[in-house]
Amino acid sequence: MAETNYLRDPTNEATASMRKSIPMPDDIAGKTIALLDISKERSMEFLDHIEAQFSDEGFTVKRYRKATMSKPAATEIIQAIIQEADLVVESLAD
Amino acid sequence: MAKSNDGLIAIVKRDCPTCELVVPVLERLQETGAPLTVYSQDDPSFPESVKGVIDDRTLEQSFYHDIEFVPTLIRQDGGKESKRIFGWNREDWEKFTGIQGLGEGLPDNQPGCGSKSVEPGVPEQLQARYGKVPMKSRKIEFSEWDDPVEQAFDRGWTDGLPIVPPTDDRILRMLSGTDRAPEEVLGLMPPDYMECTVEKIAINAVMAGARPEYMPVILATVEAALNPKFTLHGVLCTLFFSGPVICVNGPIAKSIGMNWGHNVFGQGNRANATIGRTLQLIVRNVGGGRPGEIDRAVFGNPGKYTFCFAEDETDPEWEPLHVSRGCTPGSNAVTLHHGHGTQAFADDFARSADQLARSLSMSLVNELHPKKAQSANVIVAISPEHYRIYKEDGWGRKEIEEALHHYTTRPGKDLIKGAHGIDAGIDPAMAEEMVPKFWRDHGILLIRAGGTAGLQTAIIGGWGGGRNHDEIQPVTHEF
Repeated sequence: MAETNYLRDPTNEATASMRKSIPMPDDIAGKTIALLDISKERSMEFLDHIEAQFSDEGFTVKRYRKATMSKPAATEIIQAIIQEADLVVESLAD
Repeated sequence: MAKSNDGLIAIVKRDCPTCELVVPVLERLQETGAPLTVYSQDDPSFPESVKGVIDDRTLEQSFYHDIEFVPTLIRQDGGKESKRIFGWNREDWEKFTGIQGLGEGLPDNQPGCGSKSVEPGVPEQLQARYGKVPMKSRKIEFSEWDDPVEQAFDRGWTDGLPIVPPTDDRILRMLSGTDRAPEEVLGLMPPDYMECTVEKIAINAVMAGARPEYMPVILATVEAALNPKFTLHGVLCTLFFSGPVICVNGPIAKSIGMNWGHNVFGQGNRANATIGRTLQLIVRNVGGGRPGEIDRAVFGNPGKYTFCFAEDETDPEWEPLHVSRGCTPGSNAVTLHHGHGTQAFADDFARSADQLARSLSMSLVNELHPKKAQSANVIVAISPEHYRIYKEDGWGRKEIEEALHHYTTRPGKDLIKGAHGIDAGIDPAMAEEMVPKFWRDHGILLIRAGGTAGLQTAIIGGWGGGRNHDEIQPVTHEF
């Protein structure tokens, strides 16, 4: 069977074919913030600053780190973030 | 595509005894200096003794020249074909080429073989690659490294199960199952009320895993669902459990391999599974009806993946559902019911029709709520063993229906609000009446179905919207 690099749209095409990201929340009050370190140089240091700022504002912050910046985060990390946090800041530095 | 040269064009394949047979003929044609181009469908080194054989393993030239048999010999002048022959017949080849004495030592005649370009599954792929396609739906592109099955999940096209990726060749194959034009609009699909075309139906049918020969049933199902009486918008945005349940009648059920016997409401049959699934995918993708969005069902039911089956019409003495609802005997039809799960009824003791009908009625009155009446409709599916009990007492459809309506009619005083300490119930003004549980005309949709052993009947409960007798009804659509 030949495979092509496109599929025909089964929908009513009322929305754009480029998928949009999930909209940002209107209000983050009371949310638990996950800070995900992608393991680039000095990203931990950068996220320390971010954590301090969130904490000063009264947010609960949880820290996570993926093994390498070149690959997606491991399933366990993603599932932990889903369980334990409401929002994610994923960050890099360099 | 490079155009073929004028002169003689031969299309052959190694896997063809007649193509092997005519190799000396092709050699002779080449020796005479006749302008000859040879395309090989499966092996560019065949025939070895002929010079300049062109590789047509992509079958592009075979598609362009519309080859059905091999060997085919075409005469082309000015880029246009003037005539062709196929197979081997000495007289035809000599007349065609103008060269006498061809194929010395060969039999006078030998038929050719089928071309690779018309093998099952190939024509649609070739048309998708090289020809024009009628589809107008937007192309959703992805990289060669993406998994199209995951792409469909990511885009929300699925019901939670993987789908078959809707590629052009698959859609073309699905469209071959109907004569109706891809651009034909069957109606506006709720809840978004967007145009539902034959093309969109075919795309979703591919995704569901249906076969082209199911298309007549699928199209009829969509037409039935879009009948205003079915009130599709209501049933797909209800809080209630229900979704469309499809019963297929007529000779088409057998010819497409539907199941009406063992495990009739369960898994395992492709036609049953994919026809029902196609409708649900259309509601989701074309209509925009998705759980948690416009679909506010509290529980839903597993039938919202798919719920489709055929009625058992093997007994010629039984009047099938669609005929009882006005269709022509011997016709094909689909009946759509607003249904949810199956209530099991098992009575191993009843040995008379009347006893069985009374016993079944005890389960029937519990539909929706024991104290509700003239609300939900039901499908009642009688197994072969229960049917035998009715038949032995000389009962057919009419007698069974009459008995069930009779035994499910109860004193209003037992059903009114507050009766028996239960607040729910019917209008207290009906206390002095005998109140039927079901509407007389379409409240009980009686069918035969199920496996050969088991003293059981199945009740497929319905939707409370059925209380609006005139506006919301099951729909039967003959096709």
